[in-house]
Amino acid sequence: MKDLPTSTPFNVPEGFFDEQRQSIQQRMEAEPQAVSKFYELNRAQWFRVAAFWVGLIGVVLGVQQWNAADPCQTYSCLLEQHEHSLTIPDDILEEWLDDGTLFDDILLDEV
Amino acid sequence: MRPNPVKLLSGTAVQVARDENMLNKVIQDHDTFEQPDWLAGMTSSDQQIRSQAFEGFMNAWQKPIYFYMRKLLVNHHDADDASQEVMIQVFQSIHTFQKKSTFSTWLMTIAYRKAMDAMRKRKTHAWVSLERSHQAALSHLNEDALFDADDAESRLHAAIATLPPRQRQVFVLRYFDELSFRKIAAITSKTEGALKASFHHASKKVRALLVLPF
Repeated sequence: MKDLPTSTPFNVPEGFFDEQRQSIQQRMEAEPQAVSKFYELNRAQWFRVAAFWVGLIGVVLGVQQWNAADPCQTYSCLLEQHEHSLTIPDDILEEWLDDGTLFDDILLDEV
Repeated sequence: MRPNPVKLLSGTAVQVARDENMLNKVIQDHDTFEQPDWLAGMTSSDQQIRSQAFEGFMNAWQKPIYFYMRKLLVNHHDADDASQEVMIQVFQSIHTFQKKSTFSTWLMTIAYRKAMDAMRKRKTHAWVSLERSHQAALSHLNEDALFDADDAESRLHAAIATLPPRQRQVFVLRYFDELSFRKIAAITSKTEGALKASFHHASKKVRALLVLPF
């Protein structure tokens, strides 16, 4: 027996630590360092990833803005653009139109 | 400070740690000096520098990691497998080491997790009594050609082998490796209070098993 540890009652076979070292070296050559995972990036790589996403979002927003319709100057223009998104049922609208308070006291006062 | 073995073992004649503890010594060395010299070389693109770093790492840590695993897993082959896993993981993940902690803490965290995995794989059945588990572990140790201890020491290691994984880790790190609860907390990500409780329960079980008649 060689390589007998003095601090524990556990012994190892002769030459064990040399063999283990060789075995680890061989395994490391066979299994090279794992490809960096996303969460394992260093600071510079994090900046690059962040810059890429900021740039991408900027481009998407820019294209959306460029394609967007000109801002409306009139209520009829707004109605045309948003007609399909109006979801107020007709009966509610009629109720509002019948509401004397709304038309007489508020709207007409403003005119 | 290390608990008094005589007190822990309730008067059983045994000299537990025969010599200096390797793991504790290496950890203290690495805590004293900022980072080991070879650490930077582990990520070098130069093959020769990487080989030197490998040698430096292995010279410092190979035996401490193996004996840490051996104390936990008892069986030589299990300790060999687990310690190889730790060392390979260190080299494969070294680029993720952020230097927010000391290298020794980072390494011991890996070793702790690998040991937990290995112990859980070999988990003993809960319905087997502590005494029977202890007897089985004792028989196993006595048949192990790579285990050389007197009766009292055999009984101590057999008792440790019956502890649940977490208690076993805390007991080994505290009792044999003499690490502070603060250091163990950094390694295990547990609170010092929880670790003290684990150590207390582990010591109680070990003490109870050591006073049982042969």
